[in-house]
Amino acid sequence: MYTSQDDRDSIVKLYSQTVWRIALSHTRREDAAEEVYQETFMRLFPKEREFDSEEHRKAWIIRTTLICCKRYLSASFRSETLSLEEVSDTLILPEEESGVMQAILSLPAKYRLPLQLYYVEGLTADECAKVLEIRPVTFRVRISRGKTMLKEKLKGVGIYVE
Amino acid sequence: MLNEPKLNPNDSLGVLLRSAYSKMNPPPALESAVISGIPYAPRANTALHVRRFAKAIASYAICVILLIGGVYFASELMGETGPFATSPSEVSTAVSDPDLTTDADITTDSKKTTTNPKTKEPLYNGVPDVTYHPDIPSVNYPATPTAPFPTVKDPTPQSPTPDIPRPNSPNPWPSNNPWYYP
Repeated sequence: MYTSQDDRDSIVKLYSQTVWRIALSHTRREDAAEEVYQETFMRLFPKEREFDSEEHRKAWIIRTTLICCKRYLSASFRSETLSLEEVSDTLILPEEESGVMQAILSLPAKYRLPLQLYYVEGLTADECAKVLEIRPVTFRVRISRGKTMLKEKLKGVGIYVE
Repeated sequence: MLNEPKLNPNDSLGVLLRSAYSKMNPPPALESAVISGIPYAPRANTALHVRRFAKAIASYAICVILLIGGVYFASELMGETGPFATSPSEVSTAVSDPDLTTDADITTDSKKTTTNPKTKEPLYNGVPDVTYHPDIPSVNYPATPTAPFPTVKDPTPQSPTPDIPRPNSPNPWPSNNPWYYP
């Protein structure tokens, strides 16, 4: 049991952005992301969980966030998502970053999540493959295809990436 | 053998993605609620709720229209007996119409039998009873007559038909005719 308030505070602050980014990117709705965010930490805190390392804890939190997102979206009445323009409006980003977010949010989830986990959350390729429950080769192929698709979409909004 | 692409998390695309995702922060109220263990109510997505409400209203309206259309179509199939074919006043008029009364009404409803004040003939719903005859007692009369039946006298023998010979024709009934019976 995480009895110490400091423990909870440090863990939430460490993984808050990660959980929020994955939840918002996956559900593409802010109210859904809030619910997933809350549920993920509610699953983490009430029980005494043993983690081998901090990477293990991070992988568990990311995996739990993805499961909560899938469970949330599995309900038919919640499956409706906002349009890309509505999501970008809720994020209130600068113009260039709004274009990047629109481009990455327009990717299919099977290519968007590997890119996010690898480039943004800092997981290794093998960790990403374990979290996504796919083979490492499949992960690399998805990363490659996702990069190609994302570069094409970024060209459409006037951002050129080598 | 699949040519595996080389991955570098610090390439230009990674830098761009990290820069874009770094602006995504959870609401401070949500973070503090999770830290303190207090349940946090997600903000209502007004646009989504309005859209869902409009969808629900539209589907309800479609159901009502289909229901009314189905009932109307069924009434058209059933003709004048349908709920939309005749108004309630028309239905009550049709029920009170004597032409539409059934035999059951005649035998059970005795209040509809009246008498013509001039001819004293019985009327049924204002129409003369075709079964009435002044010499024939009605079936409603008591089974035992109050007075004896009138005695019928023997008819008086009628006189034979006067033999009136026609002037321009021979007497059809000459007296020597064996078939003649005066």
